[in-house]
Amino acid sequence: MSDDRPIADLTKYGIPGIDQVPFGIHVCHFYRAQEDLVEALVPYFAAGLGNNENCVWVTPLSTDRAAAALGKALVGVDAMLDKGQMRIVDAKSWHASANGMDEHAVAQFWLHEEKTALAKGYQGLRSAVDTSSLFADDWDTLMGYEGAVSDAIRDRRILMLCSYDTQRCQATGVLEAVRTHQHTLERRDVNWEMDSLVREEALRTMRARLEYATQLATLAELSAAIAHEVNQPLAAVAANAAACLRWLSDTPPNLERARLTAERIVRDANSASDVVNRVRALFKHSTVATVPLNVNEVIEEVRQLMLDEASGGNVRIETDLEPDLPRTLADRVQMQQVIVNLVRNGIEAMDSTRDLLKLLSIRSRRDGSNVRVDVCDRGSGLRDPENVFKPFFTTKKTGMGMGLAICRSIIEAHRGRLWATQNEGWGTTFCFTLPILSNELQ
Amino acid sequence: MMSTDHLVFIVDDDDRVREALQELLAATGLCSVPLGSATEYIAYPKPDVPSCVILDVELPDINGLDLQRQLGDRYHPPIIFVTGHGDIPSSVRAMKAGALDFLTKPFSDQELLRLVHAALAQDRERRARQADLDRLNQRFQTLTPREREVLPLVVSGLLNKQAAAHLGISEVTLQIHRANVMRKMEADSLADLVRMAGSLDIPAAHSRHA
Repeated sequence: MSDDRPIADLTKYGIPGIDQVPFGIHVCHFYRAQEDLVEALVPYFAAGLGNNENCVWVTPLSTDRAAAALGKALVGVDAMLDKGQMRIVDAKSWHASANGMDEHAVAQFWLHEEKTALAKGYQGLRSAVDTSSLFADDWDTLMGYEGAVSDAIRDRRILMLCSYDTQRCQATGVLEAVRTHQHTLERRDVNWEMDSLVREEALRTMRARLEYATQLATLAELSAAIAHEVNQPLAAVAANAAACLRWLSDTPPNLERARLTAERIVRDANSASDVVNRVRALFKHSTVATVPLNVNEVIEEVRQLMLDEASGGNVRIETDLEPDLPRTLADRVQMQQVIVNLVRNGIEAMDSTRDLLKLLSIRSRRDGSNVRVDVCDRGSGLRDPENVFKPFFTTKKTGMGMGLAICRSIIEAHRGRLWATQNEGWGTTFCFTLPILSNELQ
Repeated sequence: MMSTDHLVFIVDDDDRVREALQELLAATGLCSVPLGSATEYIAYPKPDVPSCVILDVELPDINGLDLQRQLGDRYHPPIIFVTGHGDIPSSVRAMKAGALDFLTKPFSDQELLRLVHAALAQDRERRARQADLDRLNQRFQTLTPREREVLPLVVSGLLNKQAAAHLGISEVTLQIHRANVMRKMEADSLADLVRMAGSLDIPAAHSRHA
């Protein structure tokens, strides 16, 4: 938190664990149950009212319930409600009145409220807003508002605390909320913490959760497919074994039929173990689940995913994607893995370069009967570009040296090529090609 | 066509499963026909013997549940569904549409055989009922229009005199019609005729006190 403001600009925040804060901050906070929301916001407003601030609470709770919660915590709330020092607004009517407003208008609204509050002799404007569930289908609009408010209230005598119900937010929505606010409140046992470190931490956790969710989806699909493939021969084995036992217990035993069914048991058990071998092969990337795929879409997804990692290393990612790029037959997840790997390598390669412009460019274009993707960094370069594809080759302190080897086997399983070349100036370009879908070859 | 007193249809796209099920049924003395798709099953001529179907839900041409829906209200032998992965919504759907049971592969042989026997018994009983009804219908077809008018009046319990008055004929003529109805319907007694009328959905036309 910036500490170059005059002391007079600080005010008591009221949230347990956080002492004084400067005016002009826009904070987001996540809760799971309405009780948590009340528990956090009541002391927040109590502190504001105690400091003679004008308070606005936009809440999904009924206004009666919110007023009762405040009344329990401090005396004289009714009088403050009557004279308008404390205002409680129902989130639904708030959402309705904001309908159609642009970002600028929303920001101006809060600045106007501040001016009015100061003119009435209040110390400032303190607000808490929770409309996230009402914007569930219109998240971009809400994020637009939040971004505009962040910019507008800097250096003003406004405190703004936005609450998000994590049960109703998508993981990506939470990430964006963290991005559009200046700070994130996070609960640690009884107390709360708020600083930029917390924000990084939250982002990291969110990203890990996102990745985990993606993996889970593919694993779930995979295990359903495996279960089906294994269950067919297993069902046959079970039925044949039951038949075999019955032939044997006949009087006299029907040995010929028993032998036949026993042979089938052996055959089907083998085919079940073939399935298991095929699954192993899948993990070795020798079999792929391919679909017609526009590589540009995958590049764009990866760029979004890697934005934070890139800006953390002061790297700018540029894309130069050929419009109307023909599609190729590829496994989407594996393509993501390859491109993420190449981009991450590029970012890390520029880690040690100090003074140069850190730029990573991704280019796509048609190259004969192939689609070609170049990932170009301005790092220190490679002495022997072919070495990097060998398993267990690494120049990094951490890492297995398997990334590029796996990337190459994925691309080759797609009947493409992956190679690296030294750039004329600085750095390395990793290139891969994938054959164009046959019916898009003209 | 084989001549047996029952038949089990096995509809599954996996030939290993078809073969194994056929073997299991054969080992317990049951006759079966293995079929690889819903289309084959629909095209297969069905002999008039008690039967049932062991139907895989995941068929290549038509999903087993859709096949069940297509068969719709037309009478159909009992269906035992089997699936590689039993999900609750499809089992609920199948059971609501009248499936006998829903088994998840791999299933126990006792469970399957118990269901097959239950299904065949259910179909046998239904066929017997249907055969009775067919016979009654054939007899009913031999009645003259006047006899068909007399039948509901008689089974309503009207006296001969009342029934005759209702039709505007003499009591003697009515008695002749009534005797013909009893003979053609092969009814031993009035109670027997009332039961037959019930099976044929012929409503009692008149109350005795009307």
